[in-house]
Amino acid sequence: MRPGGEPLLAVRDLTVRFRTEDGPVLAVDGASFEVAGQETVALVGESGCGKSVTAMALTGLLPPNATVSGEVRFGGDNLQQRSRSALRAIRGREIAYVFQEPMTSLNPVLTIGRQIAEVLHRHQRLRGAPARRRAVELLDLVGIPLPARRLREYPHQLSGGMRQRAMIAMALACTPKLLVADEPTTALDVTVQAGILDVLRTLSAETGTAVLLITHDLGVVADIADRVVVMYAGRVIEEADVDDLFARPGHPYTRGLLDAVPNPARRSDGSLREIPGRVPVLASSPDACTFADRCSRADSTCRVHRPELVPGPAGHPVRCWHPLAPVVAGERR
Amino acid sequence: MTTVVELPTPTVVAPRSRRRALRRVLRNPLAAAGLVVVVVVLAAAALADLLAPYPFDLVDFDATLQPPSLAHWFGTDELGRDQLSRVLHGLRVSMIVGVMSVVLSLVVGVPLGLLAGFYRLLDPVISRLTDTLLAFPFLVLAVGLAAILGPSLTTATVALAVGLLPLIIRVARSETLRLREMDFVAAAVADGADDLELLRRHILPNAVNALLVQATVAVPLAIIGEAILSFLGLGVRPPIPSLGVMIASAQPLFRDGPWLAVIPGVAIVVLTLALNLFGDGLRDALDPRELRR
Amino acid sequence: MTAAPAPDPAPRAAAAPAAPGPALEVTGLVKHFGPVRAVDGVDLAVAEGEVLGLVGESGSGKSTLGRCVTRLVPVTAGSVRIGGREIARLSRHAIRPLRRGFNIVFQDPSSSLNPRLTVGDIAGEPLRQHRLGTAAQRRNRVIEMLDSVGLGSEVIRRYPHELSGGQRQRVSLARALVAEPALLVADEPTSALDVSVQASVLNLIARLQRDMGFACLFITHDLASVEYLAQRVAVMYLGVLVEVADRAELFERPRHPYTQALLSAAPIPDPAAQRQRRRVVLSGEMPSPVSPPPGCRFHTRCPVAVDRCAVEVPPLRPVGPAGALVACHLVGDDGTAPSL
Repeated sequence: MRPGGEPLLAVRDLTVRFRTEDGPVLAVDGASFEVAGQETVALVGESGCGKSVTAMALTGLLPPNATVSGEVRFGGDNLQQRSRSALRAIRGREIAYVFQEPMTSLNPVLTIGRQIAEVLHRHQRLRGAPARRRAVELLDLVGIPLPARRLREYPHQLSGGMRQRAMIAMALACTPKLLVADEPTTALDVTVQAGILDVLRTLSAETGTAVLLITHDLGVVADIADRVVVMYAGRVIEEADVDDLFARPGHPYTRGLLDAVPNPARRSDGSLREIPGRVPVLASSPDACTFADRCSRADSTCRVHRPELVPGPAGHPVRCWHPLAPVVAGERR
Repeated sequence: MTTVVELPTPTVVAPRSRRRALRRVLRNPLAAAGLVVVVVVLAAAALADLLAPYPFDLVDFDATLQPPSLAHWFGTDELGRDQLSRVLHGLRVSMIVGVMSVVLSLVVGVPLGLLAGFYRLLDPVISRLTDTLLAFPFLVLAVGLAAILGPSLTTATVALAVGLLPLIIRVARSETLRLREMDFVAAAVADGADDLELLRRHILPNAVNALLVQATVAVPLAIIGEAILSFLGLGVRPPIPSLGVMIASAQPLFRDGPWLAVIPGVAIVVLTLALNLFGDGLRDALDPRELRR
Repeated sequence: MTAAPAPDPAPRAAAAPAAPGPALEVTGLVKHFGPVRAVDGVDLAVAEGEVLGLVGESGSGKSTLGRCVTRLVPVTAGSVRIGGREIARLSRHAIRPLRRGFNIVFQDPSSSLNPRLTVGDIAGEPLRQHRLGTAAQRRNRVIEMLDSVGLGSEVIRRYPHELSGGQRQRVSLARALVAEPALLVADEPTSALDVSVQASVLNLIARLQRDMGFACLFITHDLASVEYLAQRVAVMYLGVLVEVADRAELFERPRHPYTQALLSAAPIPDPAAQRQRRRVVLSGEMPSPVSPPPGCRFHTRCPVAVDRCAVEVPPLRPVGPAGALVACHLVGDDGTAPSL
């Protein structure tokens, strides 16, 4: 896809199984994708598609009832073979996380400044005045007004948007190479979200950090992603540059998702596209297309043969036996 | 072709969550052991007349103060009465008083708790009542009441029920406060339900889990309470054997017949421990935080 | 899926007497929770059979407004008329018989259905409470209603936890509409659902509304779904309405600076269009409803505010040819709006 060198993050055939009370669940089914340095990649899908599990699996953040296989290469290093303590060191210093609900990730009894200082001390041995200066710098970078004053405040004194900015500042404290943002704006209002997205968009340009954005919101994807990886029932089903994906979706599911969103920019007076049925919960990986039961294009092939992720009619990889042909612009309903 | 696409097509299973909770309790070894002990004790207490090798009040002066033997597994007391038979009957008394006092406490406490949680105006009145009751430790309260009412099985039960009342009211009230803010209760209001319907149909059934857990915690408290009341002569009176009565009467004989006090004591400990373990397991199993999908 | 509710065997009275005037009329509505001024003087009307979208961010008071007009909470001051009947000051008891005429659907399908009742009981609750028809008639009506929300009769013995989020929201809709109310308040009915499920629920609401003809107050933070569903849109900020206009008018010519900022902030699923758009990022966040700013409540964040905005409260007044209502000093009577 992209010219030159090894990507920052390369996930190969990542598979995650959970043991649950209701039996085994296959959450991620051989997912492969890459993130290059300074790139913003969106991992998109509906709940249950495995996107968050994938993000957690990168640095071993999953609970003990999960079994992970496959390869996660980060900067040429196979993370799957690293010890827990080595992963802990990588987490925060090289790969930082930002989650949906900042309040649960921040310590309520410590000031924002103290929490950032701890990160700086833990990973960069920075303390005292230099640490303080760096903390102010970071809050400023994520657009928090009056950063010096905010350092003395506790999480509950900040609004939701400011807390999320503070989380991002903490995540950036050690200038990680990769920021994994799991639904970072889902709990926020649109006018607040706009500000956070601006921060994320300028991030790679200003700090060189690559972003892996986990989201279900196609509007957010269109706004800040360079490349999009679509997941469905644990599998990557399509991967494309952002313009390509929105203009020429190859997988019927991707197309369904795009048409399901009421889109003011291209009004249609008909009703919204529905996708009948629901996401299957898989116990094991079927030799079939997992979307076949919900797909209007499905035939007998789809039900008995596993489609591979191969370049489709629009040129980008699609996991479908009958991918959609690109539509001439303007013809789409 | 091993196409295992398990679509979530649920079958009709009646209140599955509770049956599921029981399964989860049984997976917890301590709670399962507790349940087994409780069931065995309940069965033994219920069948005491059949299981007891001797009538509990059969005096045999030829066999006084005998240590445990094949003829008398738990030995005999100073009147030659078979201790096994007496412990079995004592367990029956313990279980009856324990369960009945909790039932009585639920009958009175649940409506009070529901009202306190539902009506802001009633809350201070009922909460003041529970606060007043709580000002006395459970046992002091029960002992005081039993002393006023006079010793008998009934008064012991009533005294213990009053003592347990704050525990029940508190849980019923807090559950009501929590549930009345739920959207399904608002939806029921929008559907035209009156207050009685809201409490009876929408709030109470959803508070049952929490009350069940509290009840399993209250039963061992009541059992210990009954033993202490009886020990103090404020509960069951001889010759009806209660574990507390047995310990009390064994006290002066401790040097000659230590088993007389130890065995009923162990019985109380085992029973209350089993109930507590089961209660803890039940609480964990019903805890909504544990109900992951 | 069925197109229209089948002819109905159960004797049901007409949902509401054909009262003159709008299905819902709110005047000077105020709701304070202690010091929190959640709704602070709102005038609003929803015509019979109309879908009015009420848009706002969290803390705007939009959900409180929905709970006031359905009288799930007492009203501090002002008037709420449903089908011409004043309900703002009626006691909880006196409202009960009137509740047939209006109902509400909530956001979270996992908490808005009683987990201890079966779907059949839940959907039949309004019929039961209002003692409509015999048990058999009620059952038929419930099956018919479940059918028209796209659920088969086999679900009536299921419990909510056995259903998916989308199915539960369908049950909620069936419940709210089973007694054929003249007004439905839908409080963020799709916000907790996945995108593809959202679409089907929005389509369902649109179809039910067409078929049954109820008026709908559709409360949401999602502009796209308002644009899809509503005929008219009201924008709420910090307890007050800042703009009310027909859908096309509002989306094509947003006039209030807040409306403009809101529209520009909503991400649209089209990268090319997204890049061309100019986005207005508001400074700061919504002030506390405990002490709302004096004058125009938006002036603290408004990029074009002038001195007057901090002192004088702008009334919601008609501007422009299309009859939009805007509460902003800077919008001219001819509808010219400040450019951000």
